[in-house]
Amino acid sequence: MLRYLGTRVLEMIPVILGVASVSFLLIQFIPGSAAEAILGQRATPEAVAALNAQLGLDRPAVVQYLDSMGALLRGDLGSSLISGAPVIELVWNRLPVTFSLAVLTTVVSAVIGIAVGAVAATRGGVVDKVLIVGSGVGLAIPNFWLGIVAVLVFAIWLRWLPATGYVELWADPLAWATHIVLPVAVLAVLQIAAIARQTRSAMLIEFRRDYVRALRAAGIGHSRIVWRHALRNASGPVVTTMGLQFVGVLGGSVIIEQVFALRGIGSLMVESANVSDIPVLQGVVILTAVIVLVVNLAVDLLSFALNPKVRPS
Amino acid sequence: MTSAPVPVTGQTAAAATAERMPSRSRGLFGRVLRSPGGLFGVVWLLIVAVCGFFAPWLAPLDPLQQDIANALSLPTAAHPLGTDTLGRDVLSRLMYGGSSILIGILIAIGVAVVLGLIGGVVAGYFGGVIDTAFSKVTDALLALPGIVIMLLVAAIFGTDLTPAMVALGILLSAQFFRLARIGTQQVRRELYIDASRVAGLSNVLIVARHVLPNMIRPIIVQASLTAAMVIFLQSGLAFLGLGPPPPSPQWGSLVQEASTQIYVFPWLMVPTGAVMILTALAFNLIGDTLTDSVSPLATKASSLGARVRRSRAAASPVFDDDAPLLEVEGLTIGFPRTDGDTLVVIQDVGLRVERGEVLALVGESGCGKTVTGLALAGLLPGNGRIVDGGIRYRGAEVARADESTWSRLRGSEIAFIAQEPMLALDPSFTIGSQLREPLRAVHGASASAAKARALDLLTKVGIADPVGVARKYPHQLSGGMAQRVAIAIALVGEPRLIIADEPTTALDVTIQSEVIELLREIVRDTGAALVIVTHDWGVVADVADRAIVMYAGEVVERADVDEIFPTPRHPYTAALLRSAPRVEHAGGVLPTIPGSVPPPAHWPTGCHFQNRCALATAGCVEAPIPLVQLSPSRTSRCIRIDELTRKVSA
Repeated sequence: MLRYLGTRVLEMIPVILGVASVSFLLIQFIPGSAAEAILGQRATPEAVAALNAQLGLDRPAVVQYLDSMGALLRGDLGSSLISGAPVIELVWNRLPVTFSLAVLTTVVSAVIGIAVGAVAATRGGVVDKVLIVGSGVGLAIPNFWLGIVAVLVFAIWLRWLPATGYVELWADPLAWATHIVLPVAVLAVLQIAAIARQTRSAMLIEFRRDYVRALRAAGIGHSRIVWRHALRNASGPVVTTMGLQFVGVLGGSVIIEQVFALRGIGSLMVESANVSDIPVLQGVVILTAVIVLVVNLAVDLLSFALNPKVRPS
Repeated sequence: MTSAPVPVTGQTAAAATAERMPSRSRGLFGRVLRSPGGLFGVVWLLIVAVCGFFAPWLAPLDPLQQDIANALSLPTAAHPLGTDTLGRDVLSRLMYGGSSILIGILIAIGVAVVLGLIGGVVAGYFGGVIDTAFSKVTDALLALPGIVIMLLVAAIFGTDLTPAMVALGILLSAQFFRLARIGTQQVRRELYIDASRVAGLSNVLIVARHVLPNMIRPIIVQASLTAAMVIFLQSGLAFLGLGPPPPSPQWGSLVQEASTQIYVFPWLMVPTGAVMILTALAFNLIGDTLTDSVSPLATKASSLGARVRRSRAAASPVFDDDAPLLEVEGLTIGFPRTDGDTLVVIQDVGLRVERGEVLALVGESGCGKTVTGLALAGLLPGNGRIVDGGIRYRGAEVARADESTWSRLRGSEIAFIAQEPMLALDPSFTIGSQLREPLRAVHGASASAAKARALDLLTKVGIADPVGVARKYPHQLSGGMAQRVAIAIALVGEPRLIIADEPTTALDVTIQSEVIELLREIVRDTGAALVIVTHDWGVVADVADRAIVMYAGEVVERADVDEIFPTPRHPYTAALLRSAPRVEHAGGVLPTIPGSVPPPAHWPTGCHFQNRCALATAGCVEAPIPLVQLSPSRTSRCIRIDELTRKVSA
């Protein structure tokens, strides 16, 4: 198992270097130079040249590439062109918000999505129809639109919840909860719909398997068969879906943070994109890849726990 | 915005389509148009496309024309969907915005399909290192959130969204890569092309020509399920202020503009949201419609649930131990057909099992032995139901008992052993846990008692290392071992009646006799009765006291085992006995019965066996043949017994 873990971690390195290389390559397409972008069109050529030299952008591309890859391997993601702050630090400061959003959304949508899917599969009939149609609509609602509607309804009309902003969890847990509940609910709609559909079809496949009949033959009750056996066996594809969903939640939070004025990684990206602060964008892309790879590994470990057949010996 | 949810569901579904639907795109659009969801999807997308691409001619007003006097107006005759902050017509702006969404979808999906198909065919064809490398790259692509990459690209390339849509297409190509790779691998296996020997571009093209036609349907499914996501991502970018600058009527920027007015004019959110939701829904519905026939999405949810809803707490059956252990009369079982009728698969079956007796149900596949066996345990599959007749267990009528009564009976009175032991064990739990579960959950044993009893049962079914086997998972067992475990689980409730459905068919020949021997021991030691479903006369001779021969849903002969071998009293029994492999056939040609068992929908009016019977006359065809009692222990459903007796004794 340790050996397996080691291999998996080592395998991440080329993927991360690949992602970094591609984003480095993309930058070569920028019309003009970063210094021009920063200083604006009215900057003198001297000022541009000076800034380019200061940023090390006057060196050959290969040198810059090797330099930045070397820095990456040392854990250095460079600095913001605007504030000069190290990218790692910028991301670290913004992480709690995005992390709260992503983890909460994943947990909430897993619990609700699995329950809804399992109920649809077992109850059938009208309940099933309603849940299928409902999940279909859930998959079709763009989350930024839903976010604004949620603000309109719950913050402006009903005044139940604050419209925007974020409070640290340890500063005021209640305020934290009231601020995070809307964004999480909005992000979760799509995820719940997707997980519910996946759970439903996986459970229906399980119900047709022989072991379900064998359990019934042994006198095991219905709810035990559904919740202990069928769900356990259906959880493989569901967990895989949830791993991919996490990527979706990370992406979704980029936009949702804008809607709810949350200062997370997503708003960091949007701010940086608006001022062409490329190193920050690059850094976030690379860190996102790292997070996703770690989550994928966690998903695989979870499937090993759930499915004895796929465990590495 | 997500790079995952929609494709995931789509992906499994599309993969399933790819595997199970080799047929071309024949009738593809007909199918879509016949379902209400698909029809809506196609019509709506046509409206969006026509309105979008012909907006300059069709739109009522210029999308940029301001009319401050009528700003923020609700729908009026002049402005069917109202106006925005600057008095611009919302309908016209939505129509103009439609084209850039559709172009974005075309770019992203186009890039994804082309890249994915090329990569998938190449990887699937060459395999080896290329396959590994390509697969690693696509894994990495799946690991990246689309919006994050698109933000980076949009920041670099500025207001033209085309590069961002191309980047999205590259990310999405992973989905199509997977489809094409699986498809190519299958075709390659079928065509027996040895890549190492005849590798070359022309062969790749040959494979591609075979693969691609079959891929049309899964690709369309995947593309339509992905399109909704492209809409979200592109309009999301515009919402964030990236992409074409303000006056340009992008759907995403329309939402953004609407969001600045929600305090004063929430109406603006409605038309924009509705158009986006309907468009995403249209793509998803088309995808779902095309997936439906093969994906569980269309499958009606389980009868498992329905069965339980029907069952309410029922009184325990009242047993009468002077009655036979099991008595079945006139049992008729049917399955609902799509046209609402019932398709009868078992007709007027009667049987009786005394305590400690072994009864064999014999016949070819498709004769209804297994369905009969399942009915005796209350385990009819799906929506099968007992149409007529009765099942009396220990004198109590149980044919129409509800699920909770059956559940109680099965746990402690009646056990069922399935044909495929490996499939009958839950792959996720150890053997020990599967033995302990009924002991604890059904019989209320303590943890330690359950553990001891589980090991005891494993020993009883002849497992040499019960402690070791209890710790194993089903996939770590051999077939024979798994069947012993399944038998051990059947013994948990100390049943008086065991129903075994072809318990040896899935096993190696050498193991078969061991399992039969084990069943015989169990009958001897526990006094349980056994109903064994089999097509193997050897098994009948080894273990059974009496035999019932079934053909096409009916009992055709019933006899003691020592009578039936020398003197079959039905032409089907005689034919079946002749075709059983025996020593005297060694080296020669095994006689077979010509023809095959008619399916339930095609049962003839008279004798069901008439078409395959050498003795059939006009009388066999006209009317149903009744069962005739020949002696206290024998019945036969044949009007030509005299002829048969002469032939057999001759």
